[in-house]
Formats: sequence, structure tokens, C-alpha cells
Amino acid sequence: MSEEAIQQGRAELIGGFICLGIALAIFGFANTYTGTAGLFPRLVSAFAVALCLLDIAVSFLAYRRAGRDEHGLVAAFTNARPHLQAVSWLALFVAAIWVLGFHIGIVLSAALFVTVKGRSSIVIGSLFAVCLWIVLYLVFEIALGVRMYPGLVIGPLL
Amino acid sequence: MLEPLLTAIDTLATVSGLVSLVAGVIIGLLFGAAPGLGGTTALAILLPLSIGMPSADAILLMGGVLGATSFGGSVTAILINTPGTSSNAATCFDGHPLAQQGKAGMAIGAAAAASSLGGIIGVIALISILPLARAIILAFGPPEFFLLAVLGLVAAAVAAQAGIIKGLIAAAFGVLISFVGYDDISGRTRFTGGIDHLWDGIQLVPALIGLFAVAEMMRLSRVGGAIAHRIVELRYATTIDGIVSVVKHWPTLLKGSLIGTFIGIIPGVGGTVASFVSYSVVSQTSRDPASFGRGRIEGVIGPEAANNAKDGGSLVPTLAFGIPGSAETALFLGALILHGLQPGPMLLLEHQGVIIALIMALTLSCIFASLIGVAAAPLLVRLTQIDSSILIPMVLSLSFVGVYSLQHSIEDVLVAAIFGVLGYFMLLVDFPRVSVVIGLVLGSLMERSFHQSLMMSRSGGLIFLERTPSLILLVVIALVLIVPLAVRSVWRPRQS
Repeated sequence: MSEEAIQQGRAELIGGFICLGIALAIFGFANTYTGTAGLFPRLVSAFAVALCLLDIAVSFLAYRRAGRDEHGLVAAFTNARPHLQAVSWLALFVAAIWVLGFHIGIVLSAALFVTVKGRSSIVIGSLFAVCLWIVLYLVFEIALGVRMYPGLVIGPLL
Repeated sequence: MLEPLLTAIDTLATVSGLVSLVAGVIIGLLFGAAPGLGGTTALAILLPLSIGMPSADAILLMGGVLGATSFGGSVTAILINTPGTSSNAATCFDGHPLAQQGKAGMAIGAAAAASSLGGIIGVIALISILPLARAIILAFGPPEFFLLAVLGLVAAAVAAQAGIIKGLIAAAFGVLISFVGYDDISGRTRFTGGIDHLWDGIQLVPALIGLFAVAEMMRLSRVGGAIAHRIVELRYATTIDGIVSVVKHWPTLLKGSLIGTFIGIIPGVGGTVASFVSYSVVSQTSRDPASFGRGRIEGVIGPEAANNAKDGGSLVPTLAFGIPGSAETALFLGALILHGLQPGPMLLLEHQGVIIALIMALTLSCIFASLIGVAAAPLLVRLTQIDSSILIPMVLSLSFVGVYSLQHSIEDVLVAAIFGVLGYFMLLVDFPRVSVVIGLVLGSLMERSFHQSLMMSRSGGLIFLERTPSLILLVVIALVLIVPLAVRSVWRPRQS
């Protein structure tokens, strides 16, 4: 079996444990609701817990069959860097929008993304970001009449 | 019947209606041709944009996208061996070898004609099946609607490439997410964690945009770079030959279209399965199966016809029962809800004009997509050379501003981002996102009909076994679960 398939098996096993944790937490929450409010959530979450256990068992058997379990599950996190980068870029985008609003947040994060991730010059990154902002402004604020979110910093000043 | 037909023609025959349809077709072609984007991303971005539009125009815009994305993806599959969407992958097998032989125009012409005719056959099947669905709906009560929702979830889970268990887990999580917010039955709020914004529950559109558009952009940011660099020369002179070849190979067209329609009706299965099954059937029933994969025109006609015919089929469960047949139709369902049209039994009974307009829009979009697509093929191929570092900020910005514009709520942007991370995680660990969406859409219907069934029952849960339609549905659910397992257990030893 290829290294890629083993990594995928490892990721699926970890995914199974995460899903089990979430399903157990939901089942716990569902038990705090009485009567009709809790009945269906309890049924569905119990079903999800059973399925997660089954999925972990199937993934574990497949992983063992690969014959490379000496890597250990912890090794999966050593390959997590590109995934963390993808999540970090998204977090940066959302945080910039939340704090600085759409107008400044989008321009800044788009320029930064094109410059850093796309390895373009600052001039090209900034030009692209400004063009993107103009398109969004024309479509949403002018054509659709949507007043874009001003942000936590600028909002109170308006 | 005449009145709804006139209403539909009235809706379509307006300048704004036609402009919306053509705009939808162009957007569908562009997004379909760009690998990594596809119809789901196009529809996800357009959903909030359409909120300011009249309902009829918005539905025509969405219908245009729905009918055009699959042809957009086939152009890049033929010319650069890079399918725009996964459902165009089967077209690469014979489409690209034809392009390498200097017959790119012929392959594109055949794909265009097969897409148009396949789409039209799918729509004819939709028109034929809907009256039957209407009759079935009238015989259904709460236990049947509950079991129908279960059937939708099970069918989507079984069809998931990741396997039945993962499909069912994803569907269960989708149903659990639908419980967030105020519960009409008990009058209590559930799973809100004290956050006021969640009292109305998780809104469908931010969740869909997160799961599809945001998650795809996260995946693209990990992969990086431009999608393709190599381009094959396109000669239009052979395009007519391609169109003629579709007429010549009409049994292949019919086979592909019927396979596509049938697979489209099964919730969650989608175009990828339809086109691969069609390719497999067309090649295996050919007199010379060994020649497939080396540039046989039937290898383009079969998958392309199936790919477009499945759109008509997948609208049957979406319109009739409110059960989305694919990720695209789940988004389409979101658009209908956003414009005050609740898909399901009442839509079919009360808004026939809307349904006929939609059917006509789908038919026209298939024809427009082929005409515009053939003319714009060289431009569509250029799309694959756009660097992902340019594409990602564009799509993310459009998605987030679009989500915000729905309710002027920045919390919705956060919901979309959280669902984006969830969708990305699901891509990594191979969980089907369509099952989550179907669970999210069907969750409230399931819970409501479950409680209604128990209330009208004198024998508790046994009500699901007492009524004939319920029993039939239970048998169908059991078959849907057992048959694929049985087929796999027979198939695997033979393969080994």
C-alpha cells in the first residue's frame, strides 16, 4: 500500500475519533432535554455514536491491514501543516472582515494572500485587491443596495 | 394545465427572464470549465446575489447555471484532459484522445449535441414522472413522509463513494445540525449554547456556501498553482461532424440519457456515477469494446448525455418531495426556499406555473449552453490557467459578502467559515458533504413527521408497519441498503 493511502487511512481513523467525540457530546446534550424536545435528538445521536464506533472499527482494521502502524496516529499531525495553513488563511480573512469590515478587510487580506501565497509583488497584490473591492462595491452596494458591514473598529465611528 | 403553461411562458418571455437565463448559462459555463469551482460553487455564490431579484428571474438564473455547468466542464475535459467537474471525468477517456488526433472540434460538437439532447430527454422524463409523483404524494401521510426522508438519507449514504457507514454518519450529523434553534413542537430552544443568533437555527445558505464554496477554496489553497498549462488547438470545421455523429449514434444517446435520468432520481448519487455508468454500459455493449479509450465518439456521447439528463431526473425528488437529488439541487432547493417557494408536496400541487417555467428554463439552458459553449470554447479553456492565488480571494470575498447580504448579519459569515472548515475536514477524511446537506434539509421534516406519526398512532412505533405505503417504503429502504452490499460481495470475489 502506498504512503498516501496509509496517510489517508490514518486521517480517516482520527476523523472517526473526532466524530465519535462530537456525537457523544451531542448525545449528552440531548439527554438534558426532556419530553419531545429530547426524544428525536437522543435517537439520532445514539445512532450516530453507534455508526462512529463501527466506522472506527472498520478504519482501524483497514489501517492495520496496511501493515505500517509503526508510524503511529500522532504522526498524522506532522503532516498537518498545509491543512493548518489553509485554516489560518481562512481565519485571517474572517478576522479581518470582522474587525475592519468588508471594505478594508477584503482589500488587506486579498492583497496579503496574493503577495504571500501567490508570491506576486506588493504592487500587483494591491492592484488586484483594489480591483476586487471595486467589483464588490459596484455589485453589492451600488447594484443591490447592500450596505456592507463596516467592522468593529470603523463601525462605531460612523 | 393550460393556465400554468401560459404563466410559465409569460415568465420566460420577458427581457429580464431571458437575460437571467442567458446570464445563468454563461456563469454556469465559466464555473463548469474551471476545475475546482463547478456548479455547486456557482450556485452557492449566486444564492445570496439572487435575493434582490424577482423570484421568477432568480429561478431562471439558477436553472441556467444548473443546465450549463456540465457542458462547461466537458470542454476542458476534451481539450486539456482536465475535467471541469468530476462528472466530466468519463468524457476525458475518449474526448481527449480525439483532441490529440486533431478532432477536438468534432468531440466538442458531439458533446454539445449530446448534452443538449440528453438534457431535453431528461426534462421529458421529468414531465412524465411528475404527475405520477403527484398522485403518490396525495396517498402519503406523516409516517410515509418520515420514511421517505429516511429513504433519501439512506440512498444518499449508499451512493457515497466513501462507503455506507461514512455516508450515514454524515447524514446523521446533518440531521443533528438541523435541531439547532427553536423547536416548534416543544416550544424550546435546543443546542444554541446561549447564542441568540442560533435561535433561528443554522440557515441553509451560509451552511451550503461554507460546505462547498469555502471548503473548495481551502482545498485549492493547499494544492496551489494554476490548474493547467497545456492547450490543444481547436478547429471548428469538424464541429458539424460531431453534431451529425450524435444523430448517427442515436441509440448511444438514448442509452446515456435514460441511465442519467434514472441515476439522477436516486438522491445523492449525482453526475459522476451517471457518466461513469453510462460510459461503462456504452463501451461494454459496443461491438468493439477494446477500441474505447482511444478516441471513440460514442465514449463522448454516452457520458455527456447521461450527465445532462441527470439534472431532469434529480429534480423529481427535489420538487416532488423536497429531497435534493444532488449537491446542485440542494442549492437549488435553497434558492426556492429563499424566494418563498417551499419544495415538496404543496409546490407540486399549488405552483405548477413555477415548475413548468423551471422545466422550460432547463430545456432552453441546455440548448443555449451548447451554442454559447461551442463558440466560447477557446475562452473557457483559458480559465484553467488562472492562478489559484487570484481565484481564492475572489471566491471567498464574493461568498462572504453574499452571505452577509442575506440578513445583514456578520454572524452568518462566521457560520459560513465554520462550515467551510467542517467541509474541508470532511474532504480530508472522505466524508460525503452532500449527505450532511440532505440531512440538514430533511431534519425538521423527519422530526415533525416522526412526532405526528406517534401522535396519530394507537400502537406507538408500530404505525410504520401498519400502513401499506409505509411497508412498501420500508421494503425499498431495506433493498437500497442490502442490494449494493450483495452486489459488492458478489463482484469483489469475481474481480479478485
